[in-house]
Parts: sequence; structure tokens; C-alpha cells
Amino acid sequence: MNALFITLRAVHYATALLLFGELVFALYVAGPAFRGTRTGSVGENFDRRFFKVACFCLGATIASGAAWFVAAAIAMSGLPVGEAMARETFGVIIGNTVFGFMFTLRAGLVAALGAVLVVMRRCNDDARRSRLALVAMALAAAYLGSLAWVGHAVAGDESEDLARIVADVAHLLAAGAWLGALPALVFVLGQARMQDVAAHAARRFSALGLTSVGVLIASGLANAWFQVGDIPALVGTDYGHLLLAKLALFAAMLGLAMVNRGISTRPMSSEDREAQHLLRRNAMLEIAFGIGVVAIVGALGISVPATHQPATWPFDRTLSLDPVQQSAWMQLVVAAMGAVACIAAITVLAGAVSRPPHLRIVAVACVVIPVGVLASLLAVRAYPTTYLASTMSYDADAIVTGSALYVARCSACHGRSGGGDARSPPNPRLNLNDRVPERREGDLFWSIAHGIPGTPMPGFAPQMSDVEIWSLVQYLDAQTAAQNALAMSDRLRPLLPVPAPDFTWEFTGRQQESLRQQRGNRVTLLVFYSLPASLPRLQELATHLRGYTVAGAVVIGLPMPASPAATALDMRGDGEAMLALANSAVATTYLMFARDARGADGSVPAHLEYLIDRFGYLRVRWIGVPEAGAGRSAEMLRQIDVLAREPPRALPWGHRH
Amino acid sequence: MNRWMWTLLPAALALMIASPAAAHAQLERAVPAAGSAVRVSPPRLTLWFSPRLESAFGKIRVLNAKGDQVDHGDSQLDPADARQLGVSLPRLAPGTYRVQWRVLSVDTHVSEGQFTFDVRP
Repeated sequence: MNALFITLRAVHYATALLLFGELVFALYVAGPAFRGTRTGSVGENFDRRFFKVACFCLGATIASGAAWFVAAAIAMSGLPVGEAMARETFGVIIGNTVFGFMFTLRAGLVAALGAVLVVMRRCNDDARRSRLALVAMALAAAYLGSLAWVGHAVAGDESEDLARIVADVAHLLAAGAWLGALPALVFVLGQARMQDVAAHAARRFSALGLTSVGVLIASGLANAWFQVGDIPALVGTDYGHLLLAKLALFAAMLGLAMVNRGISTRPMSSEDREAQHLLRRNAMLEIAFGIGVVAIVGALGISVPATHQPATWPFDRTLSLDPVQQSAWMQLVVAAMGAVACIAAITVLAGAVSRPPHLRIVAVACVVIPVGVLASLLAVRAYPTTYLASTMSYDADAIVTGSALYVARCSACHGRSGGGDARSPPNPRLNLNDRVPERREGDLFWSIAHGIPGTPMPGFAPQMSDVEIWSLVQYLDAQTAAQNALAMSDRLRPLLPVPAPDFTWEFTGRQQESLRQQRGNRVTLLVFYSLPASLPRLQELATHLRGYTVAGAVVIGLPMPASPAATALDMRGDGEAMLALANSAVATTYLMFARDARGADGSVPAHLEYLIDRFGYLRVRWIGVPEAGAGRSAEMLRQIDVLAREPPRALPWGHRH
Repeated sequence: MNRWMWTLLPAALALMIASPAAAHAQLERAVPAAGSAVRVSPPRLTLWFSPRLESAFGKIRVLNAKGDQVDHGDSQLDPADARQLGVSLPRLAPGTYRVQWRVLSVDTHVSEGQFTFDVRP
């Protein structure tokens, strides 16, 4: 099925590119080149060929389009072939999908294009004919450009919809104007009797090609930004590899085009058959590479975009700013090298030293050497998993799973809380709390799975599954957060990096909610209570519950692991509305952020309250049952008010796949 | 050629910064959440996807431990939010339920997945 899809897409793209390219060539290259020249039978030959190619393309584009539609109907509906081919399924696709709507529209466009071409062929009036050609070109442009709506460009963030579509349409049209017009150029160059015309056409084509290449590069970079996004995705995913292959073919085409531009812009004598022959041969080679490009486009269309694929890093080094942050000397060297490289690059760009060749070499060396030094300074060890995103999210369940694994496998060396204090005296090399924050999740994953060579750290794969290792990584992140939480108090302070683990809860009789859902929306007051010690405080909260809601906070009351849950009978007023049901993993996880409040015997505090800001960071904590409840509520409402007005901040939970 | 190179290099470097998201529907979150336990039988199962979905061919099936379909079979895209697909549920007895989903994103690609949630007494 995949091979079929790739072939159909490639054929369909190729025919749409050709239809548009032929018309662009006829209007902007052949037309002006033939005008005012005695072309004799050549003009007629060109015409005859043009209609032949257009006719063939129309047939092939309709056939490949129809076959693509049917194949897509089968794939999209998931029905057996017999049922998918039913009128009902087609009706749903045409009526209810962007793909179906665009195909109906495109069928109309290709029919109109066919009709205009028929009229054009029968028309003998030159002026009218070129007007018809213009209409045909507009229709062919719409037919080609509308392919943007049946690919990856339509899917993504709404805020970028327009940018993605514009970039894709521009890319398609520029490809049509260059690649689609090449066969016509080859034909004209093959007409040996018309050197003047051929030279003129080659020059005009060169200008057209240069514009197209500019648009292709700009729109291609934009498309790569949307569908690939970064270097690891480019070098570490199937989609990225296909794109690299496409870029290599494009570079080859560009090289040939540059050579041709050199030939066609120099004065060509009417005897210069050799040059014309060379131009033609290069153009044919460009077409051959172009066919490869279109085949890759067919494959890219059915591949998962690189932004959504896990990227496997293929090198054993990568660039990182971490080595620089450790010493002021390094920062100075890096800044100096960067400055030299930038100044040299600007000088080269400005062309100030382009005249004397030896100065040019010096300038290029001033760019290359500092860049090389920078690369060697910033290079750090990398692994295949370095840029992988965790498959487990930073939530209470994963952290509790990771915590059990940590106790069983890691605490004997790294200590109960990751401080490297399992044995006396503590070994700073075993302290995880200093190292974990500096490392990427993917690097931690690799070290846990495969160990660290040259140290006693063993590898835990395959005894531990990938899911277990990722859970352990989440636990290590939570441990770092717990370390930072030591600085938290009952006063609101500037941000501490203590991301609140996600969790779900239910209020009595209401649908399940999650902390993530509160993003950018409400402040969360999370209360862990023990009965009966916390009862006065719970009742006091219940009295002020409306005030909290009005201030923009949601109050979630959860029992401590050892406590029974409070019921409506314990509460006054509408206090039942703050009593929540949640997995015991939530209390276990959040107790990590009050580690310093544990008794010498490891006993946990009876009562804990946290304020979580609207962006998912723990900001304020209260340990123990308050003496005078009313004072705390007034202070809390003031802090909630400040948090509710804070400007938006980056979210602690990434977009994980 | 030099000029080309120097124009392309900074652009290529620009690509190294952060990555936006696009294409192929991914399950962002669910209510009840994947792997969670609820005490109240949810009247509806709702899934949030990114990016937008087509209204056609999106389907959620909720199966009980025996593998029988228990939902009302009325999977529907929220008319106001093309990322949100839901299905209504009868009162669920305590037990483990498996959710199977299959959706079509606007770039014509089909995604599938499954997860479980528990209803506790």
C-alpha cells in the first residue's frame, strides 16, 4: 500500500508540476524568445509538442488523482476494499474531509484547464491565444498550489496555518516554474536550427530559474522549520533522512543550473553549437535529479513528520553550552572566537576582500578556524538517545513507579535522596542532585540503561524496561525539584524551579480533572490533611471556599496516606466541594517536596498545603496544622491574588509524544 | 557561490533552535485519564488530540474486561472544537475498561491507540 501511495503521489505531483511549468515556459520563455525572430517551422513544432505534452499530462494527472482518491478512501475509512469503494464512503470523504473537498475542487480545476487548452489549440488569433494561455496558467497554478491542502501543511497549530500554507504553495509553484519547465527547455535547445532563439530562451530561463531557486530555498527552509524543527530531527529520523536525500539532489540540480547560467549569460555566437549541446545535456541531467526529488516528495507525504518522530542521534558528539558555563576563561575564549568569526563572515559577505585572492583566503580562514575551535570547545559526549523525549510524563504515577525502582536499584550507592550519602563519608561523585539537572533526559536514560564506562555504574537494560527507565528519569527530575523545594516557605517568592507533578482527581459527583487542565487558568491550593488533627483547618477552609473560588483558585483536599478521608459530615457549608478523590500516589509524590519536615524517625507531617501557580510550579508551602486558621486564609488570598495576575510563563510539562 | 553559502549557513543554524509541532494526530489527554482510576462512573469519555481531526471516520470504542463494547457507539467530534472527540457511556460497573481510538487528522493520516482506565467501587 505504501509503495502504491508513494508512486501515485509522485506521478500526480509530477504531472501537476509539468502542466504549470509548460505554461510558464510558453508564456515567459518561448513567447518572448520566439517573438521578433524568424522561427519558421520551429514555432509550430513547439506548439505541437506543447499540446501533446499537455494532453498526456492531463490524462496522467486525472488517472493518478482518481487512483490516489480511491487508495486514500480505503486507508482513511479503514474498511475492506469492497465497502470502501461504495458511494456512501466517497460521499463522506467528499462532504466531510478537507482532502475530499480539495479533490472535488481540483477535479473542477483540471476540467476547466482541459477546456481552455482545447479552445487555445483551435484559436488562430495570437493576442487571444496568449490571453487564454494566461488563464490556463492561472488554472494550472491553482491546480498545483492546491496540493498544499492535501499534505502535512494543513495539520498543525492553528496560529501557524497561514504561514505553513503560504510556504507550501510558494514551494510548489517555484518547483513547477523551474523543474516543470525544464523539459520544454530541453526541447527548444534540441532544435539545432535556431541558435539565436535557443540562446535567448536559455537566458530567459536562467532568470526564471534564479527566481524559482530563491523562492524554493526560502519556502523550503520555512517548511523544514514546520515539519522538522531542529538538527536532531533532521539527522535522526526517517523523515529527516528523506529530506537530506532530497537536499542532496537539489544541490546537484543547483550546481548544474549554475553551470548552465554561466554558459547562457556569456555571449553566444550563432556557431556555438557546443555550448547549446552542453546546456541541453545539463538540463536533461537536472530533469533526472528532479525525478528523484519528486519521488522523495511522494514518500515524504506519507511519512510521519520529523517533529513527531523520536530522533536517534547518529554521532558520538554534540554541541552544548554546558562546558562554557563552568569557567569564565572559557566564556572569554568562546566570545572572542565568536566575534572573530562573525566579523570575518561579515567581511566576506560584504565582498570587501573579494578582489585580491590571498585576502579572501585569509578572511575565509578567519571564519573557519574560530568555528573549528568553537566546535571543539563546545563538543560534548552524545548518545543515540540524547535527543529522545521521555515516553513517560512527569506525573505522580510515573514518579511513584520510579521511586520504587530507585529504592531497589540506586539508593545503595546514591543514597536515599540522591545525595551520594549511602556510605560514610559521602562520595561527591555519587551525588545525583548536582548532576541530574545538567543532563538531558535522553542522556540520563542512556547512562541508566548502559552504565557509565570507567565507573562502577552498571547498565540496567534489559532487566529494566524502557518504560521503567523513563519512570526512573521522572523520579530523578522530581528529586531535583524536591531539592529545590527546600528553599520554599510560607511566603511567596520569586520563582523556584519546582515543577508540580501532574495528577488527576475527582470532586464528589463531578468528572475527573487534571492539574494540566488548570494551565494558564486557575491557581491550585493543594491541601493534604490527616483526621482528626486537620479538621479545624478544613472547616475553616470550607467557610472561606467561595472567597478562594472568586480569587481564581481551585482548592483540592486530599487525605494523607495514613489518614481516613473526610466526608460531607465532617464539613460545614459547601465544604464538601473541596474534598477530592485521587490515587494515593499523589500524596506520596507531594510529600517529597516537604522532605525536610519529616521527623527523625521518618514520620511524615500531619498536614501540608501547597500553592501551585497557573503555570504548574509549586510556589508556597505550609507545613503542619495552623494555630489560628483565619490569619492564614487572609494571607493565602493575598498570595493567590498575586499569582492570578502573574504574566504567562513557559510550562513545566513539555509537549511529550 | 560564496554568498549562497553564507546566506544558507545562518539559516541552517536557525533551524537548530526549538521545534514546533505539526501533523499526525496525537492523543494529548483524556478524561478519564489514561491509566487512572475513577470512583464516579463517567457519563462521557472525552479525548483531546493535536492537531485538528476530520469529523469523518473518528471512532472511540470502550470495551469491558470481557471485550464487549459498552459505550453508546455515538463517537462525535465536538462541533466547537475539532480537537475533541467524545463518546457517551452508560453507568459503568466497577472494573477495568479498555479504550480503543482511531482518528483521521486533516492531513489524511490515520492514527490509532489504546489505553485503560479503572472504575473503582
